[in-house]
Amino acid sequence: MMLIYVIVLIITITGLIKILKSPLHEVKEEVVEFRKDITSNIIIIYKVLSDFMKSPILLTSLLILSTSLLLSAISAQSSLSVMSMDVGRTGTYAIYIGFKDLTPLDEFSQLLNISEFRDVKFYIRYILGSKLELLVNDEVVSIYALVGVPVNYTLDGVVVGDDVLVIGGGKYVNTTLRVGNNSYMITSVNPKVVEDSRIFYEIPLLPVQAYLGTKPITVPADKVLITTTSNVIKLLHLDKYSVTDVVIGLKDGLGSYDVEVFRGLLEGYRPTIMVLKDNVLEVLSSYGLPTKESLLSSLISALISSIVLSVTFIALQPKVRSVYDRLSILGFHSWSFTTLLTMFVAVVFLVLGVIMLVIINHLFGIYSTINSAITFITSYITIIIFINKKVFNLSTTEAVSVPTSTKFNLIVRGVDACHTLEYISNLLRSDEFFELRDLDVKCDGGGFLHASCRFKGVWGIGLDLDLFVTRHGEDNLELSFNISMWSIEELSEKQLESILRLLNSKLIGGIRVWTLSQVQL
Amino acid sequence: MDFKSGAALTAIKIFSRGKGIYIIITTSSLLLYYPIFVKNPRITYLLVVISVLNALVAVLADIDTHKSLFYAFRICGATPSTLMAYIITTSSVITLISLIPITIGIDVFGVLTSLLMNISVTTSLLYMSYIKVRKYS
Repeated sequence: MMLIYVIVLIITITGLIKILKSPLHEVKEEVVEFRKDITSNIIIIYKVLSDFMKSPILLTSLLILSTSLLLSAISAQSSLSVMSMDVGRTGTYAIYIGFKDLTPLDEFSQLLNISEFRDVKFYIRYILGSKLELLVNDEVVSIYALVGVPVNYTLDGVVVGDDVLVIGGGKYVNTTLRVGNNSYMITSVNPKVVEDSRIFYEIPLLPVQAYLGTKPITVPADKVLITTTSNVIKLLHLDKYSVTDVVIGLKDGLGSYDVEVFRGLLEGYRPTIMVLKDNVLEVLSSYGLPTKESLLSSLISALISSIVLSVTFIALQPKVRSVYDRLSILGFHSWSFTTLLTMFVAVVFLVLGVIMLVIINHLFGIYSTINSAITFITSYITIIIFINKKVFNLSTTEAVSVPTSTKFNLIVRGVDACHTLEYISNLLRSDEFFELRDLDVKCDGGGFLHASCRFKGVWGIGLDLDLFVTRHGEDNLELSFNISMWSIEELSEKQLESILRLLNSKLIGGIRVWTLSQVQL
Repeated sequence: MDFKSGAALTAIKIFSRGKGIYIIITTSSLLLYYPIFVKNPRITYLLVVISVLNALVAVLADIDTHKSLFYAFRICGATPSTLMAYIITTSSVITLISLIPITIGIDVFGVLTSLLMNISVTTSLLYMSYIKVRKYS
């Protein structure tokens, strides 16, 4: 500890001695270098971009893009894809709906009006989570699956009723079984009959465990308890009437059958839906295809978005010009300026587009996302090319239209300045082509006249006249005319010069005649 | 030519040469597709928003022209009421064109909302540019 104190003391004393020894007036020379590092460039870039980030026009353009993507998403339509196959003549017209799990009837009835159909059969094919052990005739029977069939369903001559349980295999003939407070009659049937039973086309009665190729592997018939659907619901202690399979029989054919009636059901539960039309089996897929109308609406959205965005960016052009003018003083090249702004807009639009597509996918689904993606890609490419070529591509030279004007001098002899100015004022007042709007005359030895005139022939065209009168020699006056034309509309130089000549001729001619008359007098 | 008729004629000429009026006619025509062919009730609100944006962009596209006109009117001795008449007429024309797709298949409430929003957006934008011209001229 002592050693540390000694070391600190030595360092402090050494430092103090160095300070005391150093000359009091010594000024350290510091070389300040002009910073040409990357920081200055970053600051410039930041200043340029911050100017645009604050721009309400950019925010408007982002809003336009978002709205167009939403419009495209909402107008998305898809048609259900259907796979048809010829299965040979069956003489059956029926619809099969197979859910992946037990589904309450009252819930899916909201998406498909079951009551419209007369012959509807509900099935439950349910594999139990843990085996059910039944004690039948002092023998333990393990049950792995329950099958619910409609009342009066016949299996190998046995009619399945609410008090009847059927098992494939064994030798039970009307054996009583108590399950909870209920007693049932358990009856065995030929397992082969149960295994071969079909509820619809190739759909087996027994629950399918897996598929070997295309062949379904079902739960063995002796491990399945078959009873009515309502009995299974009781055994499973379900609150609502639930089913796993629905078979709708249509005795009179399918009539004007439209697959679109299953759209809600397919989107809500993604069940397997098959339609058998005698020899044609149609399998409905829950994955649809975008329609032509949908693609057209996405392209129209893209077109609207591109047009509106282009105009929005054109409105940004004066701001771009002013920023570029400031930066060009600092030595910023036009190509780097164009690249920088294009990159900035491209990145901002890309980020917004990706975010919008994620939101649309979450809210509206995949078809809307496809539609919006088409809109986004089309309008993105269009707008980036447009702004790069037309808005941010600034020319270093700028054409400025020069107003039409004229300057000329007249030397008059033997006249007074004040009289001359008064005469010119009268000339302007009495002009048949121009209406005098404003007149300002000063006369003191020399003189000055300012007049504003409006052309009577066309509205929105006028001229400003400045006249200086100075003495020139003993008896002469020099009249310096400066006349400039203005116009609200962008008229051609030729047109303006024609109008200007009307005043010129009036002034020159009028003054010439007046001076001659003055000299003669 | 007197001021009122001359100013009106020039305003129409300049306005017809601008981009805004053609943009809004084009976009309104394209937007007609949605209320006619897309049967989705949610599209109503989006069309109202797009209609407002269209009107806004139509004014923004010609904002420099409008400013020049305000300036020209002022130096030609136009009264504030003339300028307000120009603002209201221009915004009404833009609003009416932008309302075309809204009027098809959309309820009265949607149309009124759109009308109110479009006219207020266009009028306020034009009025702001007029204020700027008045301030600096």
